[in-house]
Amino acid sequence: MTVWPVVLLLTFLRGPVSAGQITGVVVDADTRAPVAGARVVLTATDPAASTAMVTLTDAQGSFHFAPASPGTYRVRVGGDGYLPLADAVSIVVVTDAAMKPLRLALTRASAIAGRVLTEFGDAAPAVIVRALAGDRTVAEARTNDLGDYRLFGLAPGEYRVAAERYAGPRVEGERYVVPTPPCPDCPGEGQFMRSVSSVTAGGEFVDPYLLLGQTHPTVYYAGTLDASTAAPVIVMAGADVGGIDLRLIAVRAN
Amino acid sequence: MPALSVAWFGAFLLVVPALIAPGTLHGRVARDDTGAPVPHARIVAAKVGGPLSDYRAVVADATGGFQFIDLAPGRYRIYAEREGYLRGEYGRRLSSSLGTPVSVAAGQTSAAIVVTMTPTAAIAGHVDEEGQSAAHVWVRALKSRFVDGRRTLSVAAYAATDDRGGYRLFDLPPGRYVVSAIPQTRPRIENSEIVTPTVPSRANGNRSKVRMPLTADNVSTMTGRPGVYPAIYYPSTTDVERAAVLDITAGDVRSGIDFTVARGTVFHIRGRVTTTVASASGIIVSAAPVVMSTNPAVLTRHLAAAGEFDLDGLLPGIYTVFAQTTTGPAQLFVSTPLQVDHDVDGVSLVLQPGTRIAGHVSVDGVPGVGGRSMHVGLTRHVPPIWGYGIVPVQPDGAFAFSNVSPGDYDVRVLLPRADRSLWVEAERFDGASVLDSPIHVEPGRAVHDFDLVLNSATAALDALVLDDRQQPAAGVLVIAVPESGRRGRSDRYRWAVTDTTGRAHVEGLEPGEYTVFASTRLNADDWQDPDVLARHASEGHDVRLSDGGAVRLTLRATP
Repeated sequence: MTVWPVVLLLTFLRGPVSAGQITGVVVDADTRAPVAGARVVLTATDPAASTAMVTLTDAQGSFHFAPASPGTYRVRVGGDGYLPLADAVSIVVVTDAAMKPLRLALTRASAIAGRVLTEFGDAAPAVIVRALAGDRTVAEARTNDLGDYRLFGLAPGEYRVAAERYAGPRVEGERYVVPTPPCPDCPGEGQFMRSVSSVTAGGEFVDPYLLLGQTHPTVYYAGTLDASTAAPVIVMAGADVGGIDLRLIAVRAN
Repeated sequence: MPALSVAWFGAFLLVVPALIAPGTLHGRVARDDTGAPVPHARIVAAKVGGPLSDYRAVVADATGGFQFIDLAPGRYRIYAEREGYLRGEYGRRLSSSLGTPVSVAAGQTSAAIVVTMTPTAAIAGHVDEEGQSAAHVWVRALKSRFVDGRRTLSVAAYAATDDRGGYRLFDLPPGRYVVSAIPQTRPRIENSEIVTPTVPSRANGNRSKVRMPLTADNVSTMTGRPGVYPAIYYPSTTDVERAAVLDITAGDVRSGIDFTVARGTVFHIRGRVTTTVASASGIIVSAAPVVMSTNPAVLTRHLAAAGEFDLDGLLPGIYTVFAQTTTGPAQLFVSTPLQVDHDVDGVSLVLQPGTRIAGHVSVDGVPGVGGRSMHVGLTRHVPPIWGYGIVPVQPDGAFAFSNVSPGDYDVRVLLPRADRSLWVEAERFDGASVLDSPIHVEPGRAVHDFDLVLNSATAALDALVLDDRQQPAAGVLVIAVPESGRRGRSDRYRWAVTDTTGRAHVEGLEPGEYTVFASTRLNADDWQDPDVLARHASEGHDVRLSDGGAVRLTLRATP
């Protein structure tokens, strides 16, 4: 006959609604404005239970789920541009009791942006840039033709920012091996192989970095090849940290 | 000891020049449009006929200058590569043609060369949904090409929007592009599984989707409401036929190519697959849109045996629904076109064996291939899902396709790459001429009289191309475009590139009326686009080519 908020983040609005229904509103933690189009996920807390319901908030930030059977449920929220609210609240639904609407507040996600340059100071396109929390990649982006990148959806914290050129071609014995990057329209990441003699027979193009014996190892902000000396990028909630620029470094390949 | 070292060094000096006396080569890199220097390009000297240890690479300086000082004598192709430019090759004007090798002699310095590079273009814009910036939307630049008189689109570049809805497509060669936007499909719940679309990579086992059991822990806050987004083509249409074709020139930065995406209404197709062959098992049922798009286009269901099928989440449009067996002694097929603008129920698909299609090739009225190597190819007319493939033609001219699934096919006679000795005079299938139309294969109706009539009386064209100063122009495309009404076959277009004397020999032409163009910028493919032809109509020279004849033309190179 009662509703127990198990986690204190849960706040209630006034006014009862019909029994067994879970309703609520999603707001911006900072401005208190309603968040439209947020994804609200309802799952039973029993990890083996294979029931899940998903709904989107309307223009007023409101959502509701159809009456759920009695049990303990977990509510999580995700919104574009916001940090996901995972394990936000757990609630017990009791069929014949009126339940107050939930009020869920989302915090704006942060971003890190910058530019990657070649060893000559020119824009470096198609470089993979990652935000690392510890050794875990939490965001990844690819630079454009201006060398610009933008890592987004970040929680407040300290990150290392790393830039890496996708591996170039190599020679393995009699084979010229060209790694092919992942792409939404390809069957998969892989490599393309030809015999060296079929390439040289017609004087065909071979990757100049391979001929120069150069490679570009992963470079960490603020310009080191040694991950342990990377400068941490400190990101506050909802911040947009710009100017995290990196310059690639060519070294002799082993 | 020092004396000994000097002696050894002296011996080295005496011996080495006699053995390998390196040649040197220098030059610079410049933009092909403005002539401005291109700094820091990587230059590759590729020795024709190798070995790889004779290849060299250097980096050009800030003014585009470069020098090789240790080239083994021989012929070299010289390439330049740099971010923001198409790969350039010395002596090449068109991206589709070859460059000119440079000869390097022992101990000599070659004359300075200029390698030109074409800057690439970019397309940028913003995507929103319901008035808000939309992140994680795939935007694609689709290169527009005409093949056999029909537009085809292929992905030239892709980019995902960031949290501000911005995207930028880059590294685009000059050309004509259609731009599409489609939100990345969010994880969705399918029965008792969570299906998460992914970009195939080694890290995820090259899968385009990852399936996990539906448990509370596996459901993420990315999981979206079930829904399907149609691809939006610039400017704001879901109909690819009405998409704008953007003319992108070298170095263009086209911004403001903006999109608004929205969920579409979806429908299902349900019905039953039956078969007359009892052992049929392992059945695939698919729905493919007749107009190919950048949507995850083909929806496929696997059935263990004949029975009910359900294809759901289909956006409105015309689909080809088809089924085939994947196991069993002989493949069975069925396909049918379906208009989907509401839920379609009760569709009956009856699997049947394919059809045998056999015929003969004759050359100049004589059955057989005249000692040539020849194949015949069948490809699906619409949509291009299953190409049947190719079969060899026997010396006596006989060829046969077994077990062809019913439907419409385009037919092509395939000769070795350099062979321009024949043109197709007639194609008769089941008593009708199909020279400019697909053949129609009906279930259970074998055809044995498919006649392909070839003719060796080809025409040729000799062109001399001069530039503005009346000097011979090298590396210029000379292309003969067939008259309207005969443009439905790409094999009627023939071309060649001028040599250093400005001459091009175009051969293998079917007799008839042609318009001839000389072009320094557009590739052969581009001339099959009716818009390109219309734009350059006044630059063409009309010629009539007769059997076995040759025409000489003097043309002005046009950009």
